[in-house]
Amino acid sequence: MTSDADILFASIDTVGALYRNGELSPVEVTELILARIAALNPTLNAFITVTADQALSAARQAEQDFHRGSPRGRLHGIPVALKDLVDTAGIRTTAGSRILADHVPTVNADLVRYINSEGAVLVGKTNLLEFAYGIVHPDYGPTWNPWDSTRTAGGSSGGSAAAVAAGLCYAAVGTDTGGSIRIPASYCGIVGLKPTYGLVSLDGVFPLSWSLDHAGPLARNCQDAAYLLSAMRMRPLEKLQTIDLAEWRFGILTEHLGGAEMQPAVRKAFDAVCDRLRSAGARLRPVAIPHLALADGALLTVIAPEASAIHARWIKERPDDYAPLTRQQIELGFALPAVAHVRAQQYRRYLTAQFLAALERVDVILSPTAPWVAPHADPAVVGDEGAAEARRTGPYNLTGLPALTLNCGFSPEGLPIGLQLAGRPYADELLLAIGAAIEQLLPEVTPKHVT
Amino acid sequence: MPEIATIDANFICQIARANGLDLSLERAEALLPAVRDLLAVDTQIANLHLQALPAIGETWEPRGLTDDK
Repeated sequence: MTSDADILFASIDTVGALYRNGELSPVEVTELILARIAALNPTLNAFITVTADQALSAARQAEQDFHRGSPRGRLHGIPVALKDLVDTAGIRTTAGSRILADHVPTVNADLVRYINSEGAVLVGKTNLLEFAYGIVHPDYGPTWNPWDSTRTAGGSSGGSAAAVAAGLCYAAVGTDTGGSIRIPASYCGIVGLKPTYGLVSLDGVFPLSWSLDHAGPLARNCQDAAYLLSAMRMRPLEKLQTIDLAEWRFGILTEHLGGAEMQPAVRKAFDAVCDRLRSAGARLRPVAIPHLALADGALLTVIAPEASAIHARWIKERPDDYAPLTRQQIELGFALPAVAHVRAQQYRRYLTAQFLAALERVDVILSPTAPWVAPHADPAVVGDEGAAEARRTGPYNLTGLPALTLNCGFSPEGLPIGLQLAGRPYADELLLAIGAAIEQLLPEVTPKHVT
Repeated sequence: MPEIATIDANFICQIARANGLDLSLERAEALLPAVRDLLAVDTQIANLHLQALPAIGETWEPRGLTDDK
């Protein structure tokens, strides 16, 4: 390692190897990360709470473990962050809201217990849209994009995405109900995985919509994301399998290539990566999903009543404590008939059957992750812009199928563009392995240092 | 359920009240476009005639395709 930046942006494998051979210590790395957070968080606003004391204590423990020759897992001594709706015992967990501003859980979420058991170093709780739903609450303010600090990092896991992209941690946990891991990961040029529904425990994660919520990893490469995913599940993983792209069949989801919202630079980058895959011998063919256009409305018809049920007491007792747009979206859920919610749930099974039929002909479905590069502000979930932003991610929340985003290029102004890969139920590690192969295929677009 | 085009703020107040939330007419008015849009999608979903297709459980269970599990 020749510079601090090399250490801050190294892979988890590289840092772990340096820990094991004694060239670097978890305390040194944690101090470096905390110094970078102190320098950049006033600009990025990626963290709501920085847990410096706890992080240094965990790093010292990790250092002793390495000296004793008893490493605990791939994340041992690795600084990570958690979206601030994941319960952490003794550390306030705000969900980006005024309502939970002073909430200090007494018990860790399941996934926190699992990550802690691997010896990870928690450096802080990351910023998010209020309750992962509405808009950013003015008490916290937006998270800004490390690639252009006049633009949003995306929502709702924007703090996690910005922290990873800016070298403020090596990986972070996010949640995704309509695209909230993949959209900010795309805007920030990193990897984000929405796992198969149910793969990661949500016990201790504040819900937005029980039937659509997922927790997953954000990282700077697919292997690092795989390590965090395996830790979140407490299923040890060695290395991702090596993939020969020529052996896999890719479907291009034609409905998601166009639309008035699609920026030309995004389409151009997507077409370019398809050409590179063909050059590598991969087989690509178009796929179509019947009645996919209904997914935008179905997604909101599921989310809105579920979110409203969760917030039923607070919306009556403390309506002014919500950001105005969050309040309006919660009210919307009370104005929809129950049968519409049930029919939207039925549509999810119908839609999944259509995707699984396509996934008999191909192994992976490709599309752009978002139709545009990071905008200057997050659009409201309800409305045309919000629907367009989540149009390519929401179907995989409805179906529960795993979906991965990784960077595949840059716009003329130098902003990252995401490529989305989706697969069959429980194909999460396969998607990450294919993503790692695509990273090898596109070394020029794998972000290095963001300053 | 009235025709979607005739749904007004009064209707939204009534359904919200039935669901446990009192809304002013002004706040109900602000919800009108979204409610109409979502009910229009619901009408299209209803026209798929999904009948007894389950509304709960793992989404891929109706086809039983879990070969990667």
